[in-house]
Parts: sequence; structure tokens; C-alpha cells
Amino acid sequence: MINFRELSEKEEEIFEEELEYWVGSSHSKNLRGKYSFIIAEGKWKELLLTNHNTINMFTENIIKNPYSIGISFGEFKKNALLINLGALSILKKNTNKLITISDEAEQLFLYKRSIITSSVIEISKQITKGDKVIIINQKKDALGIGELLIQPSEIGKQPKNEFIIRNIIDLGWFLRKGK
Amino acid sequence: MSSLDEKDLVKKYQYLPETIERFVSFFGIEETKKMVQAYETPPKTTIRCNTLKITSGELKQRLEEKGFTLEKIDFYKSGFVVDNNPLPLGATTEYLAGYYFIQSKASWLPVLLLEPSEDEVIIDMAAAPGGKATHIAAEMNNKGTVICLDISRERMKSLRSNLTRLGVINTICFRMDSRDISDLGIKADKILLDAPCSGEGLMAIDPTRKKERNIEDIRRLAQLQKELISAGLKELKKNGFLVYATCSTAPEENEEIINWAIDSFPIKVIKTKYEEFSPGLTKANEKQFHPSIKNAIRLFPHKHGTEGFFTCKLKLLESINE
Repeated sequence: MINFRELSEKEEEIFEEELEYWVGSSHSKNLRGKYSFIIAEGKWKELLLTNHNTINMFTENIIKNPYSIGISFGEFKKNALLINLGALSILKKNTNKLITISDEAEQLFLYKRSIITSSVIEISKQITKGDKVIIINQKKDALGIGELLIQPSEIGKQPKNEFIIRNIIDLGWFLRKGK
Repeated sequence: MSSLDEKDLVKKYQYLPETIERFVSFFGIEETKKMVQAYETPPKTTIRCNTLKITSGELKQRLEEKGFTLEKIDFYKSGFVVDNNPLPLGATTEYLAGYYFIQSKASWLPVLLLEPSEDEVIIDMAAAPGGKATHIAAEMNNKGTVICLDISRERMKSLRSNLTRLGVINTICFRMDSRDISDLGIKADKILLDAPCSGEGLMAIDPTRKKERNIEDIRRLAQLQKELISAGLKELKKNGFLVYATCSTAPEENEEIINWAIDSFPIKVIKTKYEEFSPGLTKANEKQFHPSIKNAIRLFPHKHGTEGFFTCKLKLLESINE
């Protein structure tokens, strides 16, 4: 049985921190105003994204427990919120945690592969080693999330075929597991 | 089996004799010949642009840059016929990014008849895997609420995946038997019932249906269809609309169901603007149907390049209280 409920104070805090990381405080406020968020808790704990009408419909009218509401924005694990594919296109518009990769690397990334030095076309400023970033192609489509494994200033010094971005999640999931 | 022509069709195209006999009684021998011939060729692949994420112009340009050929479709500006596939259409970056849904063009019609608006509550009674539910959400611009019902656990997973891929956020999904729709405790502005059916219109896609579905299956499914349409109409607001659809050409699953609903509930069949398609039958199996059923829409492979399909739009004139 999945329990749908509002965010607790602690979950609010974690969510705020995560949004601030990705889009900064002003965009974070805008996102919170534009969308509604709700927790789905069963064997795992998910943060769901929906619109205000749907939350109102659920809280005021629905008398049966749903299977799901809206789409998954992320998953709470311990004291962290792990952003997932449902959040990508929303965060992409307002984040500066972006790395652009080449067309050749795009297909490999969508097959769960990590990214090598020579595939990186552009890195947004303010990204540092260990940051989680949204990986985009040259057409600005969000492809997934990766973790930068080195300092951006070291990129030119690395061998061309060294993995420098770890694939955390990518859109290929929809083919591998989403069907 | 009454004629040599019918026997030839059974033999040549490997149908059950009773199926050909029924086709001939509904559509005549000449139309049946054309229809079963057309069922030998799968319909062309069509895609619906997900306007929540991209415009149809941008999508066309991007896929054509990859070597696909996209042709516009007259009755729906966000739909395309796709030819010349240089790579699998279900594995492009554009597909994974949720820019389109691979879907038969016949499937767009029920949603277009429904005419979703942003502020409405719409129930899709057989929502998984989400082709029509995501289309409804796109027409609503992710506003309002789409209530998605489906009974299958596996199909619910596909539905959820497709909602995420296409960025559809205005949904509440329930895994349940849609006949229990009253358990939800809400009245809807509009309902889509894409009813479970024999798939008698899907022979081109699944030739096993030529022999694996018989009149007993159709009768059993017709009973389920009556139960579903009855349950749906009871949860509709006064002046609300229910769109009924099947991928079957069998009048027992279509006109007979609608005729039964007209006799049982305060509804009428609404005339639509899609006059390029064939009308509903007004008689079959020696039964005369309500004349308004000609306002329903039928699609045939030999006439419209689709699977065999039926859809119609019903308006509830008085709310039904039980």
C-alpha cells in the first residue's frame, strides 16, 4: 500500500537544498509556486511532481488510494533526494549545472556509458569536481544526469579517452526498463 | 457459407468461415474483398507529436535531418505518417526525450472527439500504456486532471514510464477494474472508454486474430463493454461527454453497444466534424439501430489506411443517480 502525503519538515529541507543546488533560490521559489509536490511512500519514498488542480482533486475528492500521481521528480534515500528522469526537462531550463557532449558520445551515453574527455563540448561555469550535472546534446536535449569526476580545469590535461563523467541515469532507461 | 466468393476469401486469406460470413452480411461481398485484401498489409507507421515538449514543425525538421520522411495528416496537425526509417523509430533521442508517441492515426480520433479543455476532469477508463491518456494531457496543456484507470499491473508500469517520458504531470492513476469507477467518488466532465475488444480490426497487425477470435469471444466482450459503458455514464456530470472506441469492426461491439446504451440511459450520439470517415451502421444482424448512430465514425483499412476502428461521442443529457 502506497501512502500519499505532504512533505515533512525534514523532507522539505532536503528538497529545498536540492532545488537550490540545481536552480538557485529564486528559480526554486518559482518552481515551488508553479508545480505541486507530494510524497509517495511504500517500500521506497518518492517525490512526485504534479499540478495544483490535480493535488486539489486528490485531497478534496478522491476516496480511493491511487497507484501514482503525476510523475516522479526524485527518490528519497536516507537523507538525500536523488533527482530522476522526470525532473530533467524542468531543471534543464533554469540550471547552470550543464555539460554538453558530442553527437557521437550521445548514443553511448544513452546506452549507460560514461563520458570520456574528448566527448565534452562545453561545461557551464561554476561546476566543480564531484558535482552532479545534467548532460545535454548539442541540440540542448537533456539526456540524463552525470557526475563530474575531475576539476574542469584539468580537462585539457587528461588523456582523450579517460572517463571524466560518470553516468548516473540516462534516457535510455525508457528502453531498458521503462517498457 | 453462401457463395463461392466467400469460400475463396476464407481459403485465400485464412479466416474462420463465420468471420467472412459476418463481414459479408455487414458490408457486402465487394467491400469485404477489399477489406480482407487490405488487412494483408500493415498500416503505415504514424507518430503523434508531443506538443507539451516540442512543436510539430521542429519535430518534423529534426526527424527529417536524421533521414526519416514525415508526411502530414489531414485531420490532425500534430500527426505524421513516417516513411523511410533509417533507424528504429522507438530508439531515437527524440523518442527517448518524449517528443513523440508511436501510435496509429485511428487512435487520435477518440481524443479529438473528446475535445479536452484545460480546466476539466477527464477519466480514461482503459489508460495503459498511455497513448490516448498522454494525448488528452497534451490537449489540456498539462492543466486540469486526467484520471487514468487500468487493471493490469504490467501495463500500469508502461503507463507510468510513458507519462514520465512525455512529461505528463496532470494525472492520477488507479490500478483497478474500471467497472468499479464509482469507488473513486468523483463525477467527470468527460470520459474516454477505449473498450477492451476482440481486435477484429487488427488483422493487419496481428494475423492470428483471423482465426483466434470467434463470435463467442465477441459476445463475451460485448457484455463487458456494456458493463463498462454503463459504469462510465453513471460517473459523468450532466451534459458531460463519453467517447467510446474499439479497434473492432464488429457491430456487436460497437453499434449494438451504443444502441443498448441509448435505450438504457439519457444520452444522444453527437454529430462530429469528421465527415471524411464512414458513418456508423444503422442496421446489422437483422436489428435496426437508433438513427443517430450514423453519427458514429467507422474506419476501414481499404478506405482510410488504418486498422478497422469504431468511435462515437455520447452526450449525457441528465445525470444518472443510483
